[in-house]
Amino acid sequence: MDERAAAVPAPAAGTGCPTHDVSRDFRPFDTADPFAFYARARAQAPVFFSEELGFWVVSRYDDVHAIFKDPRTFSSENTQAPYKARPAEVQQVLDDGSFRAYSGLSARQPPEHTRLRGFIKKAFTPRRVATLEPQVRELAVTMIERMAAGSRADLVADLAYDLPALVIFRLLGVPDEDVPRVKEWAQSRVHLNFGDAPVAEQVHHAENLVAYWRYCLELIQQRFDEPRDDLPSDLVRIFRAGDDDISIDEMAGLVYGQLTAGHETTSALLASGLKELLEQRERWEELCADPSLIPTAVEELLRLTTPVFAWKRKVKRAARIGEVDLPEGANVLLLLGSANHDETVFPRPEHIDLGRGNARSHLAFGHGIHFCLGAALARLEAQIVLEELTRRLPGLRLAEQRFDYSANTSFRSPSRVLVEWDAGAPEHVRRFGDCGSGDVALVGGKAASLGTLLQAGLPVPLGFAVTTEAYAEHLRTAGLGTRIAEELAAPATADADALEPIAARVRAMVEQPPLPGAAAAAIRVAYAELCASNGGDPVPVAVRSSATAEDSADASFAGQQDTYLWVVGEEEVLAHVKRCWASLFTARSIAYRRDKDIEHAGVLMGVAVQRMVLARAAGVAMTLNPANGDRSKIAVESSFGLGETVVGGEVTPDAFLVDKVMLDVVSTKIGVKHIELVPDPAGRGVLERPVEAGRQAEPSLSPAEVKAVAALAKRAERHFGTPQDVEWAVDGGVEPPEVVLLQSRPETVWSRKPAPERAAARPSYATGLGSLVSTLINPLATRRTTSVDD
Amino acid sequence: MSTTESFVSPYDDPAPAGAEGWEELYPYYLHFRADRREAEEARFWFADIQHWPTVFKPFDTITVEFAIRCLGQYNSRHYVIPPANGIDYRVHNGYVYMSPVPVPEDEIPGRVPEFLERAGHYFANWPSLLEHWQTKIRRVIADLEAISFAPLPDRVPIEDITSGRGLDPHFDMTRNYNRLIELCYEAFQYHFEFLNLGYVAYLDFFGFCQEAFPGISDIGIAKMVQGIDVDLFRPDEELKQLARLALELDVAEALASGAPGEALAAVAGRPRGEEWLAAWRTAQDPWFNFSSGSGMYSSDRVWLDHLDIPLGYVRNYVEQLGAGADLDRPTDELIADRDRITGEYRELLPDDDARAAFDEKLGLSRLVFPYVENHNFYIEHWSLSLFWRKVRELGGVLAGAGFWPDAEDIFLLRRDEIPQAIFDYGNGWAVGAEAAGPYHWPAEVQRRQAILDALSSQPPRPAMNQPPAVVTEPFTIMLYGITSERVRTWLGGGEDGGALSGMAASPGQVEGVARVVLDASELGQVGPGEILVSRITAPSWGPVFSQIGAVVTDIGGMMSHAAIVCREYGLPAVTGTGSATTAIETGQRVRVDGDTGTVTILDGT
Repeated sequence: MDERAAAVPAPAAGTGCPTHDVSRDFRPFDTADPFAFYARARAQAPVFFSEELGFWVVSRYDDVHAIFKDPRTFSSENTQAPYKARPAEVQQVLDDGSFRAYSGLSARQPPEHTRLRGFIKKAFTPRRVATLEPQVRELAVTMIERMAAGSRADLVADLAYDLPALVIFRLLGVPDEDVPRVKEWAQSRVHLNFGDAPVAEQVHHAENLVAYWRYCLELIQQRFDEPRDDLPSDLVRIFRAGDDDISIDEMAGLVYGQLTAGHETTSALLASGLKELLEQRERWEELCADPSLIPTAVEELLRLTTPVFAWKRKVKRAARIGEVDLPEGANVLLLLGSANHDETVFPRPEHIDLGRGNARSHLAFGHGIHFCLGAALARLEAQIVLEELTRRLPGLRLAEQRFDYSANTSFRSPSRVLVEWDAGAPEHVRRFGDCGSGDVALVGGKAASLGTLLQAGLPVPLGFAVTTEAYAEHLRTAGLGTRIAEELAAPATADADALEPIAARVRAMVEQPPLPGAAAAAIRVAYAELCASNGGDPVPVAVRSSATAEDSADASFAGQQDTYLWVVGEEEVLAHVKRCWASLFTARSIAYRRDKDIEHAGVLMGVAVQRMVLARAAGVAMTLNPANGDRSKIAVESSFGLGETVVGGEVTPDAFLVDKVMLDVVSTKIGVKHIELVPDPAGRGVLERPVEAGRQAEPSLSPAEVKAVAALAKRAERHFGTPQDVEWAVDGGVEPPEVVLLQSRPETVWSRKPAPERAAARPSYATGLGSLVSTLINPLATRRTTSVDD
Repeated sequence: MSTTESFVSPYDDPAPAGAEGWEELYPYYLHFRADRREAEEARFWFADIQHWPTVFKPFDTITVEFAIRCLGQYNSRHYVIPPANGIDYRVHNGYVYMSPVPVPEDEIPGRVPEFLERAGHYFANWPSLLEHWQTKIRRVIADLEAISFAPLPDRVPIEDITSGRGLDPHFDMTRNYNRLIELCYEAFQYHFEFLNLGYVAYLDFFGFCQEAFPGISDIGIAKMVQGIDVDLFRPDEELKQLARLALELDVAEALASGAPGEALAAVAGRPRGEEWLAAWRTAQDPWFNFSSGSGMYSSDRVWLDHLDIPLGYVRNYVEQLGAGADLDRPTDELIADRDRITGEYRELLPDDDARAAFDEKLGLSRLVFPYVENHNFYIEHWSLSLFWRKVRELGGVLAGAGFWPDAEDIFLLRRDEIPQAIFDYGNGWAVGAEAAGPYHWPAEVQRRQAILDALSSQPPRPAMNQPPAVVTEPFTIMLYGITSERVRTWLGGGEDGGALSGMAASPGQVEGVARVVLDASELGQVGPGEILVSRITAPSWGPVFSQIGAVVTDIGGMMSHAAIVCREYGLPAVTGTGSATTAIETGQRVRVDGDTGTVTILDGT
């Protein structure tokens, strides 16, 4: 079929009229910044004739919309035809190469279009698109992480150019190694059908098109021979099912069409969209802080950037658009980029408006029977890229640069989008694995200790610290420093009760404002990682304050040691992080700091977010005998459920005394555990429930588990070089149950006593034969009857 | 413990039916005599089935008599151990019962200086005295080897005529028998020369550890002291080596079946068979002088006399090697484990004084302990194997003279009756008339065997009479694992809801099928992974330890053979349960918890 648009009679050229001026100033192949011109066109000559193209040009939203809605009058048959007659040399190349591809769908007309579209829709199902989600995300994360290693990038070359291509090519069964050449062929198609290149270049593009077409034919042929799990194979299967009337050429044509449509457009959306978003920086920040806004943002970016910038139609019967009569056979160019900026439909069109009610009304995907088949995939890709990019590189900003656009009417995309970010930006989150004893000022004592344990190879549930920098930034961005100071300046009372209403107000001030975008994004990423490492479902975590002055005498006053258990989901985690911060402002803490003349906003706090295990039993262990300081023992206390009941003294736990060297159990006292703390079956938080009578006096640990707990405590002591007081849990969520370490602190009571007082029962130290005699005369067994607990 | 709780009195404990008259089978001084009932009933007696688990044949009481009197001799007369005299012993219904003899409290201080002088000398000169000991015991062994018994010849050899010797072969036979008894006695004297002191040093370290680390397990202490390279393990190691060599020299197949004679002949027919046979012969001297029992009984079978036993073990090892098993003892791990445990406890001590004391006591314990482990091979296995073989040789001579049907029957005579039989035999020979023995003994040995069979139908009582409020006697606890708790368990019947308790002798927990083994001859039935349940275990059972899952014994302490070997092999062991062999049946599933010292019968109790 001939790709050339048929020549149509041009209207008589006039002079001096606005329409004439608009037509004269139209630069169809230069899409770098046409918006001022478009606005003028919409105002002065909403429909005008372009001498250069020989096309009638339509710029208003309503007009474009009306044309899309009337495919009988306005046919898409000229869509893939070049604006100008194809030079003979170029046509020769195509003919010699048996180039038969005309259009996949875009230039097809009903009923043929209806038949083919119906056919491919059977294969290009929502199910297929949905299955791509993990692949898209994996690709995006890999590419972004690769960028993140540095401090600058070109969003086109490093992300936007390849990502959609890799996705659609995988869907179409094109191996990754073929991506560069197919991508090049597809660009040749754009240049040949929508550009204005010199003849020599066009010959080259034509050669590419021939290769491209053959490739598509072969692809289909291969799938006939050897079906796989990809879209062409699905086409073959549907074809074989027999209902559909379709030729091999048509099938190859569909592949040919999708191979272009599926990535050039989305590449353009990503490149232009990210450029726009970073130019409107506050919107970027909003997305970092609240990813739930991303779907709206995607629509706004589609509207604003309009990747398919202009599209062709042919008038099949004379029609009137606006105030212009279009003759039968006229070619029409629809300026989608203009329609989407039509201020009568989209007020303040140049702004990304995340609250825009009709954001989805844009014409970026076209309208009517030719509505973009891949819209869902494009949206998915944009959504995922924005999610991952705002999470991982919230500090992204545009570098100084000039944007270049390739010369064609319809596919508008900057060739480069250079960005940069500060590699040393404030660190809002740090994984436990990267926290060390030197990081107390940044992550707080609790997180630093957990990090140290993790680095020592101890089985500590994973997690991360929200840093003091994140807290400081939260105070700064919400302007809390001065507001808190003002709030707390007034009454000079140190009476905690009187302070309570003020304290409550300050806590609300800390809890209410959203977290700074970058901090929130970082927390989301870290939490998502925890979930991913745990199979993907939202993972329950404990959110605890991690004070920077932990274990000093001031610690208990500097901030309430708040702990929130079984917190599930991103939003909940964010909220509880703020609640931990707010706990710095209890009346008691405020009074204390006031008394000591400590600046309120100067006290910083980290927050530890740690995966919670489904504890079958849990408790504490001390690497000495607390009854007498005997360091050859490990005392283990245990109860059912979470260990807080033991720590808080709410149950009489089972008590085991274990020999530290041999790890054998020296004494056992089984307590009556009347309650247990378990996850709320409702899914979040914990609840206390009574233990059934029959189970209360059952041992909460098997002898082997007691030994495992003791071994863990011993390792912690060994690592820190001083007696430890540890919290542990038996993770009942894994098989076999595994003992994990939740916390380790230095033991302080006996460890501070001088050595002689510490000795449990100071032996005589008699040596030599004298000792042998006393051994024989003081019968051993009478000494052995003394209890180890004494 | 309530004072009303008491074990049966031997005076109220009649022999089983058919064993009437059993008393005559043993010397009068071993009986609970009616004429001293009051004194005997005032004492607490416990059965020593750790060393003597089965009913004595009359001759066999020689080992308990010599051993226990020699033990006493060193406590009371050589070293003057301040609080302890010997252990008194009786035979009742065929089993031996022990009762330690304390030193009156007011005499203890007076004994201390003597002890310091005498024991002090031994501790100060331990290595050189031990070297001397080796010379002495090897001389005893050589003398035992040299003894032989042969039927009396028709005529006195002509050389004795021409040399004017003036003595006949029967005189030699009489003297050789006396010499044999003498050498056995001598071996038992040496047995205790170092043993008691070794235990005292160990006890001293034990006590120190108990005070410094209250509640420390016996295993923990034992592991710090225990030797790694011990002669007692050598016989087993030799068999493993022979198994490896059999594969290397390609004789394994030839060795695999048939009686020892056939198998060894088949090996000889292999190209490199002679090489293997040479190694087999080399290993025998001395390592096949190894008893499959405690060595204390004439019926204990010795490898050298029953080559089917070591050969069976070698075959088993060949199979295990073929299945890819690693038979090497993890000596490096054992050493590393010992060093770790020692280092960790030492580190826990509060100051340098304590560490100095710890080092000294541990050093002394480690100095003396090799003897504690090794004497067993030289005395119980090597010396006694020879001793029993020689007595049996004499029994064969007399059987040939019609005194009794079988060589073994000689052990049905009391020690004091054998000189009579020897005289009777030589008397007839000299006079040229018939001896009386062939008329007297055949019926008598048959009668005695019936009595022994009747006695064997009933297990020993764990103890007799009223126990002390607290068991304090150090040797009782250390050697026998008998503590107040253990006695209490015995009184309670030893079982509690399918659970038995004993000493946590070697850590770990395992479940498996029980195999009750009352005699070494049943060892062949023990299958892989089974739980060996026995009265005691003996060192020569070594090979069986490489395939079982755990060990449970009726009697034994932390330093009993079963405990030592199980710790070596990393097998859980519970020793001193008192009644495992009667409470558990072969085929039952049991759980052995070597950490807590409990054995649970899991099914069909």
